[in-house]
Amino acid sequence: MVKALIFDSSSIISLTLNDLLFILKPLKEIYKGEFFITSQIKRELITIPSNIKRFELEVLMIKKLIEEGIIKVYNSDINELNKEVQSIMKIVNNTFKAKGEFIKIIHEGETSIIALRRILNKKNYEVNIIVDERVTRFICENSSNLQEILEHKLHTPIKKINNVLTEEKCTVLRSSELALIALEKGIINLPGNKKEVADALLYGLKYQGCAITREDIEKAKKMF
Amino acid sequence: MKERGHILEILKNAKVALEQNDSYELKKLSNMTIHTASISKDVDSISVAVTIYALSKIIEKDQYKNKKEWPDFIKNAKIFLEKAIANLEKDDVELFRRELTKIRNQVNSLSGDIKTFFEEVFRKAMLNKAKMMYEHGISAEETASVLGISQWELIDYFGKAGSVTKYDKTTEIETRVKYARKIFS
Repeated sequence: MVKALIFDSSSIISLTLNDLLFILKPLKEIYKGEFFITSQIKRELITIPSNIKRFELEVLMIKKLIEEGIIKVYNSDINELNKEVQSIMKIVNNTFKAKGEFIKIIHEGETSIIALRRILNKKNYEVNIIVDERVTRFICENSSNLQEILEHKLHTPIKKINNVLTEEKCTVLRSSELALIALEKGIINLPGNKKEVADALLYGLKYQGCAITREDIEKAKKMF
Repeated sequence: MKERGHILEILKNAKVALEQNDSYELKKLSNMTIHTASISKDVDSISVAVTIYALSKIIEKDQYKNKKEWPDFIKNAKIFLEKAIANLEKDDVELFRRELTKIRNQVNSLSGDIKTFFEEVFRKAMLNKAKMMYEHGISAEETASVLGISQWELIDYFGKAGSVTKYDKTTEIETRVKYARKIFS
């Protein structure tokens, strides 16, 4: 069975902003599979920020990974993928209502991760996804709680209009878990014992966009 | 425009708050607007929220109040705000938008460190509202798209200012790490 790891934009951004993109090449060799992004994610990572001076260097670093084939842009089944994206977005964004209006909670790039996972699953790939972004993770792992979460966050009653939205039933990894594996495998070599380096890595990622709690960081450190 | 009545009420209160130099009230009004905008994604509500928040920041910073450009900026902001309200009352959305934009566009005619300060205030106001939308349960990409900014800026800002709560947790980290170990074995 061919293995595939699909990345969302938030996880790549977190790794880039922490200067951790170098871990992807050795991790891919260990993983023995493909690292994919969708064209929608490529747009978020490269096209949109390419004219923002602040992120020019980071964009070039990601471009290099794509040129070297470490990360591949999935260019097959474009029509099927787009169709799947639209279908998922239609369901997710027409499920919850507040004050009489549907709440649009997810966008195209994020949805494309779930869509590509479904397509590759059908092709008998063993698929895993890396997502730092919180809402996409809810949809994959815990969509039944989305109503409660939205109610808590929006401080307003939320009506669930249908039960079409189902969980993807997959365990999502984040940039934080990738960094921990890289540390465990000796890919990341920094002064200090593993607990100290894990602490530094996880807080670094937390402060650059990875949705990880302090409690999670403390628990993760105990695993080393 | 989806929230005309609400925006009108917010703007009228913002005008009073600005006249009274009440930055706290302006921030409160901005937060109320973005709360509604998280549901409706109404661009006018977002634009009002950003502008009011930026004004709250501008009036609370003492270091620029002695600059010669400062009184004119505030005086004009009040005039544009009044005109925006008047146009919205007449249901002229286009003119309302134009007047609201003029508040921010005043920055273009400035120079030196006060220009940099005002530009930064408006940029941070935008990112602050984006953070609030994200905290309201809207995805990062959707938030970036609605506010017309990149995810990079958003994540860079969230990292420094964002907060992750117990509600953001879906799976125990031990499960994730075990799973990661398995697929990278």
